[in-house]
Amino acid sequence: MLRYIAWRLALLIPTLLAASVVVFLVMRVLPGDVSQVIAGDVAVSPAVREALAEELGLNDPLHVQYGQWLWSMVNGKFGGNSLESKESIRSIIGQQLPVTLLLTGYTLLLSILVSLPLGMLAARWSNRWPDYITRIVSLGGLSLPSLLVAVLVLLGLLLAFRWSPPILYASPWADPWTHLQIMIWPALILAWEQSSHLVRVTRASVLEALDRSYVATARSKGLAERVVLVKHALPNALIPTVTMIGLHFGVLISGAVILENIFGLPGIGRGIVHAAQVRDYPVVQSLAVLLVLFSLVVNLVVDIVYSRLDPRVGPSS
Amino acid sequence: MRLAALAILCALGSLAISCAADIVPPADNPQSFASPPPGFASATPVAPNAANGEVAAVEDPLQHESGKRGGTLVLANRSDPPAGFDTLRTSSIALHHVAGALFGPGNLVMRCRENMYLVCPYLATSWLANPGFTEWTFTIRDDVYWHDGTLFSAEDAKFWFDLVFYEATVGDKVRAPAYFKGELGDLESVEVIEHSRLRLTFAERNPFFPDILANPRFKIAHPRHLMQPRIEQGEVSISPIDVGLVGLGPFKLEKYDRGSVVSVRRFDQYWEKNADGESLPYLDGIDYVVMPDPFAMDVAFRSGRLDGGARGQGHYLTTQRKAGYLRDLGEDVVFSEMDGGNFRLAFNVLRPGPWQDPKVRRAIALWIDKRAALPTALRGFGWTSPDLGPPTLPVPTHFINWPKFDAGTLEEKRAEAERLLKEAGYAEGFSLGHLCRALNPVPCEFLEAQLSDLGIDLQLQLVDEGAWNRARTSLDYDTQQGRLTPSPIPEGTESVYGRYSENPDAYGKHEDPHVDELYRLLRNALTFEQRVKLWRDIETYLFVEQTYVIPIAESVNVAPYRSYVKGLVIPTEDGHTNTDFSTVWLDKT
Amino acid sequence: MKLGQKKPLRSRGQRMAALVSSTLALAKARPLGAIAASGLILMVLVALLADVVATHDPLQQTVRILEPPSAGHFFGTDDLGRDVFSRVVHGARATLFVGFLSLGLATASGVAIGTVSAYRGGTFDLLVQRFVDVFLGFPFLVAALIVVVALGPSSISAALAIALALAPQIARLSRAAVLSTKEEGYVEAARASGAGPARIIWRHLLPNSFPPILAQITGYLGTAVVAETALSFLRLGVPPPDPSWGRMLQEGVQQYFEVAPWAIMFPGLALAITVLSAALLGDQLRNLVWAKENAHPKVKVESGTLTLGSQGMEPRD
Repeated sequence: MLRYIAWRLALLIPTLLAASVVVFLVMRVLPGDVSQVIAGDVAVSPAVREALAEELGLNDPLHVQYGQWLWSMVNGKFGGNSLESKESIRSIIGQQLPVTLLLTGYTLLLSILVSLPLGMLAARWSNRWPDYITRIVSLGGLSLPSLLVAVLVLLGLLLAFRWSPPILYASPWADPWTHLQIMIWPALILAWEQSSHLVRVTRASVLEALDRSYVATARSKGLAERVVLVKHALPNALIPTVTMIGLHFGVLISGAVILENIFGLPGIGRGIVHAAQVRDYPVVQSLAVLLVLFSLVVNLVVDIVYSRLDPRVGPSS
Repeated sequence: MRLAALAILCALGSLAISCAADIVPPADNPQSFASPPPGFASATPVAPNAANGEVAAVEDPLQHESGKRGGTLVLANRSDPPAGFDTLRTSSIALHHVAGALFGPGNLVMRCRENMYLVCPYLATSWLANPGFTEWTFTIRDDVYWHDGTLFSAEDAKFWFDLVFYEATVGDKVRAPAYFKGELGDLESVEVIEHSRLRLTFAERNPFFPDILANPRFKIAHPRHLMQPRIEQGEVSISPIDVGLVGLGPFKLEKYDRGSVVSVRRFDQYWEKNADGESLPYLDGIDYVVMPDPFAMDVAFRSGRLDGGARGQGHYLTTQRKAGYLRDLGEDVVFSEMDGGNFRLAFNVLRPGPWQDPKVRRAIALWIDKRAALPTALRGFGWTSPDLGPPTLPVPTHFINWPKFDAGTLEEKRAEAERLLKEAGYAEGFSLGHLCRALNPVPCEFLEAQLSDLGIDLQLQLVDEGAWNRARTSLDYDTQQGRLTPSPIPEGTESVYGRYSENPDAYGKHEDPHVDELYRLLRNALTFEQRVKLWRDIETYLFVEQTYVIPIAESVNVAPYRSYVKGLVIPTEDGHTNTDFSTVWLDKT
Repeated sequence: MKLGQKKPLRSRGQRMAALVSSTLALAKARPLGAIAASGLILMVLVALLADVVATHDPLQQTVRILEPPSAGHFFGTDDLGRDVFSRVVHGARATLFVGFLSLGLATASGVAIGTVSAYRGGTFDLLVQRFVDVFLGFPFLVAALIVVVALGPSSISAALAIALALAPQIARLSRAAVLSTKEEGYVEAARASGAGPARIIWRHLLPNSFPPILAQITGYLGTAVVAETALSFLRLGVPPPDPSWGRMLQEGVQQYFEVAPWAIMFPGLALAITVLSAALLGDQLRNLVWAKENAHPKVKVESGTLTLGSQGMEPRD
C-alpha cells in the first residue's frame, strides 16, 4: 500500500509538469496581452505599448518565460508577481485559496451530511413518500442553474427581510459570525446541486446492497433494519459516493466561480477566471497548476479510500 | 460681449490659463509675459494668485456649507484596481474611483469643482506661459505632504513628469513612459527653478497644456523619496502599491484586502481647507468594497449596506434596475447623472469591402433609427446624437447647434439611404463584420437588427477584453464601436479620428491625408472663430462627407447614492473619471 | 420486463404495429420514462420546427420593451422588445445543439479513452488516468474561456468547451465499466480463440460496458445544458444575436428579473424541463439495463467492480 502511494505521489510531478506546459502554451495562443488590457479604454501609442511589453517581460522568448516561471515555482515564489496587479502570487494564493477551500469544504460537508442519510432513507422507503420528496428535491438541484438560484435567494432575502449578506468577506478566525452570514448562502446553493448528484448515487447503491445475499443473511439473523442499513448497506454506498466527489471536483470549482462573483467572495475561482480574461499569464499558470494538484490529491485520496473499501482495486490491479 | 466670448472660450476648453483671467489682476512676474497672440487677447495668461486669497473667481458652492465631520462612506468598486494602482499605467475606472481619495482630485491643476470647463489650481498655486506657449512654469504649493509626512516639492513634481515622459533605463531594464504621454505634448525638458518652480519646455506650441493636465486621470501617485532609490537599484517596474500607496490625497491607505476592500482613512495633514478655513476632508474614511457583480451591488445598496454605487460600465444603472432602488429606498436615494461618451459606429476603410464607398457608409448613417437606441442599447438613459457630429467639446447648447436627430424625417432619410446603396451597387445588401465587446453585446445586437432591415448582414465578432484590446489597434475588423475617451479640446480628438498609421487606436481606420490637413490647420489657428470653424469642418468631413464614423447616441451614466451623502462633486459632463471626495460629508446623526 | 419479446415479423404494417404496441407497453410499464422521453422529444421537435412554431422573428426588435405576456406575445417581450416565446423556441435549437454535440463529443472521446485505457491496463492505463486527472481537476470555466477565446465564440466552441469538462468523467466511468467486463469468461474465450484487441473491444467490451454507462451519459445531457448557462455568465456561450436559453437567463436574471420575470421564467422553465427529462430518462434507462443484465446471467454485476456503472440501479422500481 505504501509503495502504491509513493508511486502515485511520484507520478504527480510529471503530471503537473505536463499540465503546466499545456496551460503555458494555450494561454499564449490567446490574442491580446496584459499590457494592453491594463491600459484600459484609452489611446496608447505603439511605442509606449511596446516599452510596457518589454518592461513586463512579454517580449522574452517563450522558453525563457516558461523557465523563469518554473524556477519561481520551485524556489517558493509560486510564479513571481501578477502582471496585472503587481502583487506576489504567493500572497494572492494565500488570500484566495482559503476562501475557496472553505467554500468547497462546507459544500462537501453539507452535501455528504445531507445526501447519505437522505439516500438511505429514500432507499429504505423506496417508492414511498420519503423517496419521492428526496427525488423531487434532487431533481430541482440538478435542473436549476446556480446563477438563477443565487439571484432568487438574494432577491428573496432582500424583499422579505430588507436584508442582504454582509459585503465584506471575513475569515472564520477573524469574525466567525460575519463569515457564517456570508458563506452559508453560496455553500447551501452549491450543496444543493452537489448533494442532488450524491443522493441519487447513494440511494441507488443502498438499494443495490439491500438486495445482496449478505444483507439477507444479516436480516435473517434478526438484526434491526437500522443496523442492517448502517452496518451493511452504508459501506457499500460510500464507494460510489466518494468517487462521485472526486469526479465532480472540477465542476464544483467552476460552480464556485459564479457564486464567488455574486456573493463577493475573494476566492480562487473568481481569481483564475479574471486572470485568464486579462491574460495575466503567471497567475493563470500558478493557480491552474495549484488546482490541478489539488484535484490530483483529492482523486488520490479517493483512490486510496476506494482501495480500502474494495481490496480488488489498487496496487494489485 | 467680451465676457460672453470669454465664457465660450472657457467652455470650449481652449483656455490656456485660468478663466479668472479678467477678474484677477496679473500678479507675480508680469514681466515674463509678452503680448498675447491675437485671438487670445481676452485670455491674457495670468496666474490666479492664491496668496492673495483670490483664487475663487467663481465661488465654490460646496464651500458655503460647512459639512458635518466624521463617518465612513461605503462605496462599491467595480474590481480591484489594476497595475499596482499605477495611474501611469491604467485608466481603469476601478483605479480612478479609489485614486480620487488616495491621490487627490487633481494634478498641479484640476478641473474646477463648480465648473469643470475651468482650470483651477491644485498642487500648483499659479502657472504661466511664455508668449510662444512652448514654456510653462508652475509654482508649487509649499504646504502639501505625502502620507508618510514628507513635504511635497517641485523635485517630486519633476520626478513625476520624468516618469510620464521618459523611459527610465537601469542596466538592460527599461521602464515604460505613461500611457497618456502623447496627450500632454512633446516635452523637451523639465527643470526645477528657484526650488519651488517647475518649468516644462515643449518642442511645439502647447497653448492648452493646463487644460490637458487638469484631466482627472492624470494623478500623481509616485513619491520620489520612496521610488527613486528603488528604481536606481533596478526595480524599474515599481508601482505605487510597492511603496505602500503613499499619496497626496485627502485620505491615506488603511488596508487593502485584494478582492475584498480598499479602506482609506482621513489624512490629517491634508492641505485643502473649506471656506471657513477648516481642514478637509470631512469624512473619517471611505471603504471601497470590491463588487464585480452589478446585481450584488444592487442588492447590497438596497438593503442599506452601501452608501454609493460603483463607477463603471455595467455597474451604472439601467431604467429597470433604478426602479428597484426607488421602490426600496424612495427618497433615501439620489442618482448622479454624468455623460457617458457616445455610442457610434466606425468603419475600417483600409479593409476592402463595400464600406470603402462613402455612399455606402452614408447610407448606413441615414438608415439608423437613433431614437430606438435609447431604451435598448443605452438602457434608457441618454439622448440621440445630432445627424451632424456630436459636440465632442463641452459646449453650451446655444453655441454649436447641430441639427438634432429628426425622427420625423426618418422615412425620407431611409429612402435616401436605399437610393445611395443602390447607386453604390449594393441594393441587395452585403455582409459586414462588427467587432463587439462580449462585456456588453446589447449595442451590437441593436445595430445588427437595425442594419438587417437595410439588407446588411452585420456579423458580430464577439471578443473578450484581452482580444478586444488587441483587435481595436489592428486592422482585423470591418466596423467597431469602441468608446475611447476623447480629449476635452478639439485638437486632442486627432487620436480618435486621425489617420491609422499615426493613431492606431483611432476609431475609424483610414489613411485620409485631408484629415491631417484639417487638424494641422486647427492646431495653427490663432483666433477663436477660426478654431470653431475648423472644428465644424472636421466634423462635417468625418461624419457627413466621408462618414468614417456614425454618431448614434450620447449615453448617460447613472450612479446611485444615499441622499444623506452630501458635497459630492460629480460634474455631469465628465463624472466618470472625476473622483473627488475631500468635500463629501454624511448628513446623518 | 417485456423487453426482448420479439416475434417473427412479416409485413411493414405489422412491424409498425408491433413497434407501436411494444412502445406503448413500455410506456405503460414505465410511465415516468415515457413522460421523460416525451419531454425530450417535445423539446427536440420544437427545436427542429422552430421556424414553424415561433410566432415572431426572434431577432425582430421593437420599442415595446419588457411587456408582460399577452395574446400578441405569449411570453411577453425582452429588453430589446423581442418576442420571448419565439426566442425560447429558437433558443431550443441553439441550446440543444450545444447539449447534444457536447455530449456526443464527450462520449466518443471519453469512451474511447476509458475503454482503451482499461483494456491495455498496466503503465499505459496509469499514465492515461493521470492525464484524465489533469482534466478532471482543471477548472471547467477556465478551460472553456481558453477554448472560446482561441476559436472565437460559437455554438461549436461552447460545445467543445463543455465536452472537455464531461469527457474525463465519461472516461472514468467507461474505464470502470470495461474493467469489470474485461474479466468475464467470454472475453477470455474470445482472446483464447485468437481475436485481436480491436475485435475484442469492438465486439465484446463495448457492447457490454456501454449500456450501463449510457444511462449516466443521458443524465449528462442535463449537465451540458446547465453548463451552457455557466458559460453565458462569462459571455462565453452561444454568441448574440442568436438566442439560447442560457444567454436569455444570464442577460435577464440580473438586469430585469424584478420588472419582467417572464423574460427569465420561461427560458428557465424550458431549461428545467429538458434537464429533468434527461435525468429521469437516465434513471429509467438504468432500470432497463439492470433488468436486462439480470435476464442475462453471464453479465453479472458485482458490487464494487462496477462501482460507477452501478450508480442509480433501481432493482425494485
